[in-house]
Amino acid sequence: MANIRLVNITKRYGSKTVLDNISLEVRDKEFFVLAGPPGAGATTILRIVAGLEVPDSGEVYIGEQLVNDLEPKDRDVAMVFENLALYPNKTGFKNIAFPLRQKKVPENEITERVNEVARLLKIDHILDRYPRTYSGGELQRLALARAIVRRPKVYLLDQPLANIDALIRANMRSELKRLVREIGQTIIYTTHDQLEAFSMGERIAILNGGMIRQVDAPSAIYERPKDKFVASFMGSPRMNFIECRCEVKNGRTILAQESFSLDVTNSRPLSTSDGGPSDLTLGIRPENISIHLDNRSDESMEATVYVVEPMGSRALLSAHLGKNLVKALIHGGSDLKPGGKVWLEFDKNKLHLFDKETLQALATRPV
Amino acid sequence: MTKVIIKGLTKQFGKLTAVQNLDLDVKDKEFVSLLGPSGCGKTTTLNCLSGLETPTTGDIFFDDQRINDIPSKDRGIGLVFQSYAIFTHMTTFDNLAFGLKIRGTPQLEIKREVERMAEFLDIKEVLHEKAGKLSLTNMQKTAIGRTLIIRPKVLLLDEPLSNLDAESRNVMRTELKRLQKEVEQTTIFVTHDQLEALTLSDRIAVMSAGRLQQYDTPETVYNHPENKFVANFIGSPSMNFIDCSLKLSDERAYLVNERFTLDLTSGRDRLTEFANSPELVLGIRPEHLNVTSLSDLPTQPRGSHLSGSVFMTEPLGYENIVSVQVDGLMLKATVPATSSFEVNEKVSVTFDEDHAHVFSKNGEEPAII
Repeated sequence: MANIRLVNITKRYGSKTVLDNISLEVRDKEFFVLAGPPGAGATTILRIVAGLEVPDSGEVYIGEQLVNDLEPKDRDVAMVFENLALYPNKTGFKNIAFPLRQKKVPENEITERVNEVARLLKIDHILDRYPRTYSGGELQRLALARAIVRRPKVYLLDQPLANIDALIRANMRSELKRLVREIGQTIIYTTHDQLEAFSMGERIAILNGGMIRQVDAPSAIYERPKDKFVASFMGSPRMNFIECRCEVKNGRTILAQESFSLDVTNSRPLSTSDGGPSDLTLGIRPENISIHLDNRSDESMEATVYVVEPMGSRALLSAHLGKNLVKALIHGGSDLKPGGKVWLEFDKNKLHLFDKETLQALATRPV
Repeated sequence: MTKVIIKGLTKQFGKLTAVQNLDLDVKDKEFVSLLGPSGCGKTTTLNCLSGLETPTTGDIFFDDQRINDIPSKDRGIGLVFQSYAIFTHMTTFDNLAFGLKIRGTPQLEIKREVERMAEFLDIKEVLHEKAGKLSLTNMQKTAIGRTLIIRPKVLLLDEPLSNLDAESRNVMRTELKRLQKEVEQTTIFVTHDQLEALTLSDRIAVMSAGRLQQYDTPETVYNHPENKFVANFIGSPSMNFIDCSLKLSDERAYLVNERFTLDLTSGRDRLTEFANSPELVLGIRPEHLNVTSLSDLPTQPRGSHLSGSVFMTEPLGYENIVSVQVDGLMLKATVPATSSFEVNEKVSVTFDEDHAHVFSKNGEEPAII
């Protein structure tokens, strides 16, 4: 078993607290992603699991074993760094073989294991070449091969795609995700890129300011973010936030603001008749807003086109709804001109509500 | 009123040809992107416009004036780089005022112009803060503002968004688009990001290996790429490419591969030229592929279809990408976020021939359909 447990970990650098009493469990054979903006603490967690950093307090368990006092080499973890850290003066084969040679594995076993891993990663045809002749994707796989060949219990991948060209990165995402599934071991993966986290992880921990904001499956984080930070971090284009009041009148629940009034009695948000706050932040994702060129229903809200950004198969509309700049992901859009009128309709089953003060999501009724 | 005309521009560095025989015209008030991967020649072209580099051969005109021999400072250009060239120890106000001050503009006019620019850029609240303390987007706005305020004939932007984090980049992109609409300033924008080029430009010049590949509106470049290079570079996820060969009969034309036969008779006239070089590449964008689970199909589908198995699915939030393995080939399709496919699930992939692009195998040869 190679589940990983972090219990009440705190880490400070001087007066700066980079991890503030975090606890986390990564399941055996899980692909677990630590995601957050730069400085959120994801890489520090990884380095603490690897043993490259010592926490100021708290415990780290790999399986049932407390590993706080174990040297990195005795933890049976392999780490792949953002800069890959390959040996430029060794061939691909010798790079992969290096950790086995360190362990004095017999030469014929080394050859066998290196070839096996290279076949898995589809670099067996270039093993006699030097890393400088490898493409970005091949370098990535070479670094992974060197980690895999040791057959560790746990893999720690620190932003492995961060330095790769955007065009290749899109392809590497699905390849790496598939590969990781084939390796079938416990993997912790850090990234600043919400798309990578969302599209790859089995579960994701969203970090900010050294604290864990939410741990969940990607779809749960996307659909039910626990606070405004998580809601704004996950998803691109970002969720729109609009401040409004919640009024309960004659059994109807209305979200209102100078520029609109939305009856949400029969939709997802819970009414605040239970004594909840009346000043709220409404969240709606750009893909959950549809647009019309006329005022066709009570539900549509008049807005003024600010900018239309064509993106190929879709376009991103920015429009002023009162004082709020709202973004909507739409099809077409070439008939929209800045300054023109447009009517927005929110998908009321996809509304998010946050307490304006605490920024916490308010409980919502299941749809 | 400034149009830019580049005629036969070539720039060599020793044996390396960075830009080869480039012709480009930029209309007055037009926003043109130079787009391509590193080493395509876009920055060298910009440097020739700004005067940082001298063309090996070729001419550059601003309106009717040839500017090859005019020193950089006299060309009337405004330049904004990816690193914000602002004075961090000075206030936003003084940064914006700087160019006017050296020109000896009267104080009152400086104040009026700076305030107008700050209003325009929505940085009025931070006008009296030290520029070094501003947010990244406000720093970049200040850099653009101090360039715009001197009313350059031509604004040159060299990857101005690439130093910003993802969210600031989205915000700044929208702002830049608004500026572009309002300021009516001839602008040349260098980027390697296809999305920035698509969203911002009136026209996009796609470059590769020093050569111009296509110069057209974002819509045309996306929907009618002129060659395989452009088709691959524009759009994310990238277009799918499938090798196939051409079969012509008296009346009809087909693209065939072991797996499918695609009736392209409507494009037969153009395809007949390739009767002697029948190895072609079919291109289809991910949004034009339909993926259906085989278990959901009552019978084998008719028409153009490929069967394969799901390699991986990647949720993006507003939609999912499904990679499907068809023999040795990997196809990517975008499907609704509500759909779900299992890894290794058997699926059928179909597409509409109206959305098929046909290319020569060589990336830079003209598209066929």
